[in-house]
Amino acid sequence: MASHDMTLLPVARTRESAFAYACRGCGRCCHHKRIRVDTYAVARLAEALNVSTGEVLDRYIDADTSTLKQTDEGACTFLDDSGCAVHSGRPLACRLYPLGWFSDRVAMESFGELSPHPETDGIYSTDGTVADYLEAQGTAPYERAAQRYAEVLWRLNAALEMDGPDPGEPPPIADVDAAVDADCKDRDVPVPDDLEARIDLHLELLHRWLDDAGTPPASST
Amino acid sequence: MSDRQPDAPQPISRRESLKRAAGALALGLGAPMSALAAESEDERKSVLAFYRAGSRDFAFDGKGNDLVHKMEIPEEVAEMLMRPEAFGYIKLGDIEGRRGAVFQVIKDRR
Repeated sequence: MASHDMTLLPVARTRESAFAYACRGCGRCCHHKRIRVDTYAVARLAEALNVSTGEVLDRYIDADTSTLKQTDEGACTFLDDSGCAVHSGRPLACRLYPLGWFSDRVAMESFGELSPHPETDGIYSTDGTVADYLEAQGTAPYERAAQRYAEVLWRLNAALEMDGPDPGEPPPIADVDAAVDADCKDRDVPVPDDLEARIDLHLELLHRWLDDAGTPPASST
Repeated sequence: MSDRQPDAPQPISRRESLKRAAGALALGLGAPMSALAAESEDERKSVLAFYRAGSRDFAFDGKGNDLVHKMEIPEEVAEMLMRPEAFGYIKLGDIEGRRGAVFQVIKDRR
């Protein structure tokens, strides 16, 4: 499947904007794309594949760019004959497509829209809103996680601006299972089965490490 | 985004630890690097410019040696992305076959 020039259309939408898109499974948007994944996406992929986050990182993620690997033909590593092999755990960029989501710490946000693939089978309409589309795509937990990990990033940036104690090596940033397993082993407590509970604990570990670095609380950074 | 370390990691400073952690998080979150200094932009359009990863010497006109691709973007999206604490998620097309690109919003001549 050939690559094509894709660009952002000259529109910026809100959640209330009229928008609808029906995927027909043509798979054209699963070729020649850079799908960036964050810590939460790695954990969701691991859950969908029933493997550890470390295995996802080792096998499926380009570490230099934090993007999904592709085949030599440019197909997403998870695309098979029946479609997306990790559909229940697909990353946020895939759920949003053909939209893009941009936000910041005060929760201002904008939705961009990518130009359609010239041969797409997807159906565009205005029979709904961006909010409807996001709900149908299950983006909410990904959005929440993005905001929460962004809080860690902003604390990190604040810590870089100030002197403080050396907290030592940080917990693994992307490998949630490694971070959580090590902490639970240290405390001799069971590892939470629930993914969201492991994410909560991972974020707690990162914030605790930032506390050790003398970083002010998130609310004051 | 990788937590993989060399077999025998050397002790690193507080700053280096923080920088590495911030870099790993920023990469996954699609957080752009710091916004550029404001300049007269009336005659310019907003462009999302992609640079080779590890680039340090950005050319503000988007014509630096490390520039690999750029595309025009809506002003509202540009304003959002130029906030220092912005992040974003989007399914981007191949960037001229280059891996390891980072992005920055720049103002280009119309």
